[in-house]
Amino acid sequence: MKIYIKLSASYSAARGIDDFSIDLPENSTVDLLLKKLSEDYSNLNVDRKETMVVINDKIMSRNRILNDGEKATIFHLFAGG
Amino acid sequence: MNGYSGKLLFVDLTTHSFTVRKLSEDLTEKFIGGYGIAAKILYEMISRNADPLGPENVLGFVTGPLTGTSALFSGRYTVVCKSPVTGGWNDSNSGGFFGPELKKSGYDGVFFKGASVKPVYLWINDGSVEIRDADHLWGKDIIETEKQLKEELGEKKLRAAIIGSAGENLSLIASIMNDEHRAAGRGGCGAVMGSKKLKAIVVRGTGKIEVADPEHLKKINSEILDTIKNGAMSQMTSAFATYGTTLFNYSSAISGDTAVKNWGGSGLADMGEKSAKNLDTATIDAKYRVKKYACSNCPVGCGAIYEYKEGKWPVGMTGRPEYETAGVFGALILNSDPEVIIKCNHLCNIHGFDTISAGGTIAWAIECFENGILTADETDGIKLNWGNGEAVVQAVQAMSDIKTDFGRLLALGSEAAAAKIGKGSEFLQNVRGIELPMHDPRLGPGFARTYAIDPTPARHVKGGLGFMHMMTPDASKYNTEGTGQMDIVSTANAEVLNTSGLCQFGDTVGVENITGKLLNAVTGRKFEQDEKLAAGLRIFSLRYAFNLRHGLKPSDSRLPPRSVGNPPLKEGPLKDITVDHKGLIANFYNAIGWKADGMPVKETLEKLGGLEEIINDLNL
Repeated sequence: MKIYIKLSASYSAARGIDDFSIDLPENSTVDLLLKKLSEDYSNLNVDRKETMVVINDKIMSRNRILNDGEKATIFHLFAGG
Repeated sequence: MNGYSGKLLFVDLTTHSFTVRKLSEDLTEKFIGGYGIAAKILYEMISRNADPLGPENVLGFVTGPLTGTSALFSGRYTVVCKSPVTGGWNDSNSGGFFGPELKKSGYDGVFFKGASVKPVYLWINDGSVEIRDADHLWGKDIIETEKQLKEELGEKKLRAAIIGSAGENLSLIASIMNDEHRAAGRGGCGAVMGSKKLKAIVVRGTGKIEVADPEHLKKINSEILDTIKNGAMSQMTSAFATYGTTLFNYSSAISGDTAVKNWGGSGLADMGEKSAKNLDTATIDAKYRVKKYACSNCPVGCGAIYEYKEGKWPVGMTGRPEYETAGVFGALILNSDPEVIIKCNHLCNIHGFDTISAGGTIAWAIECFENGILTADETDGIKLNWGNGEAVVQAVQAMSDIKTDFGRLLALGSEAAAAKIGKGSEFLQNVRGIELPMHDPRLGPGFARTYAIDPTPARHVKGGLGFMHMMTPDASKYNTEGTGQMDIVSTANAEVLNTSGLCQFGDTVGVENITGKLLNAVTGRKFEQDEKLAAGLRIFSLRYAFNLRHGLKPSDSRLPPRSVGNPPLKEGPLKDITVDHKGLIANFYNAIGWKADGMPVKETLEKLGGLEEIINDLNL
């Protein structure tokens, strides 16, 4: 299945682009998605507990099963002034 | 003493005199430096009923043991006073170069009491002290004042902390600015400076701060640099170095971290993805950024200069708005025009307003206008509707000018403004009058405890579990069971970090116990977890006791209901979330060993040591 990825600035700066897609086996979880991204792109260190994945305007847990065609926004939060 | 200049300067602005006192080793051992030591001094100097805007208040500028040394991330200083907003303890810190310059000029801190009849500024030049006339500077903005000071003192390398029209006119949301774009913004410290008719404190210092183990300090600095380059957080730090705190404008709108529509809205549901994308830092930076800059001894450099020369409100060269500023003048008021944010940030900076409180006050005014509480007659015809960027610029301009009734109303800050008109208190989003920063407790529930009961309320830079909660997608963070011990450890760590003079972003690059390691190399003292916990809680307790001494009751500290999901949002990433803030607070009090009503316990304070005076003073 195809998952559409949108990286926020913190990760897109490392990847070089904001939007792309990735193919995953059926019933893949958010956790697998992050592991696969980190494996495929060595400079994209998203397999971290602080990484957030938002689908349909909701923050997803690591064990959420993905559906074909979903758009996953991936980012890391931080506090600043 | 290694890590200290060893002297404190006390200036009496009523008599235009000053004294120099030795910094005692006992003070540094128990309270480290910065606002830790200042809390002890102000506790003794400020009487219970002192008017925060009267001569009896004391305004301090203090540094930590790391400040002015070669320790990385050590560019911070702190302003302390009794807050004219809360009536209690206030500390507010800032970066840039002023702090290290002050320390190298020969003083770990400068404290002002009394009030001058005429405007003055203080000039410290390598230890020598002079109170100078500032009549000709009164009324000038921050940039003009600094330029004039450099010309008349003939010293291009001086650094200055300055108030603008906000502080001069005793605006309760006035900041103190240094190095043009850096602000000690919170708690109304600029108004206290204005009440003393103190336009600026100007410093030049070439002294050297001795450190305990220079070779070890070099080694720790090398470890920090290596971690920044090769550590687990290197990718994040690199992006942060490029885009600064605005790196998180877009992601925070998606996550719900940035408050939306005066805390009543919901992420992209109200902002819209396109509008949120307009505020994405990469887009804005590409258009406006002309150069980057770093604070003193900072290897990251999250600051940048923008040039806004064409458009509706061109300002020329100006500081890049920080995340908090982009939040309050963006999502909080449903504005998606970056030019509005740049212009409002510029106005606040040159006139000396705290951007968080200014934006929070504007958001309050908009909700009042939308609900008929403020009419166009009362807003000088400004149509303060959600998302009307032009109206927001007009309102901030009116606030900066402080010439019309509406401008004067906004300059009061939201709490005092609502009290003045006798309406609109239902739309206030503040704690003890301090407008909330842009980190939502519904995403990071730990912020609720910090915002509610830190002695300086509504602060995102104080310790607690907010950051950790915010950065985890795990819903178990909403379960308050067992949060107390972690909360007090995090709080103590933040107290030590802040009082040492370290920048909080230094603690995010991935070096374990960075504060303890640097403090050890600089002072020679061990700062492992036990020492940090005791010192941190001692400082927290002292700041807290200051509030009790000045009549603030723990039970009076209330969070705005929206900020904790009461009622919960109906859509978006924070849908259906209500934060158990009472549980978090109860756990904190229990873990620190205090009573459930927030009163400290004598035996607990005795164990920490160094707090005998407050035990007696508060009759504990």
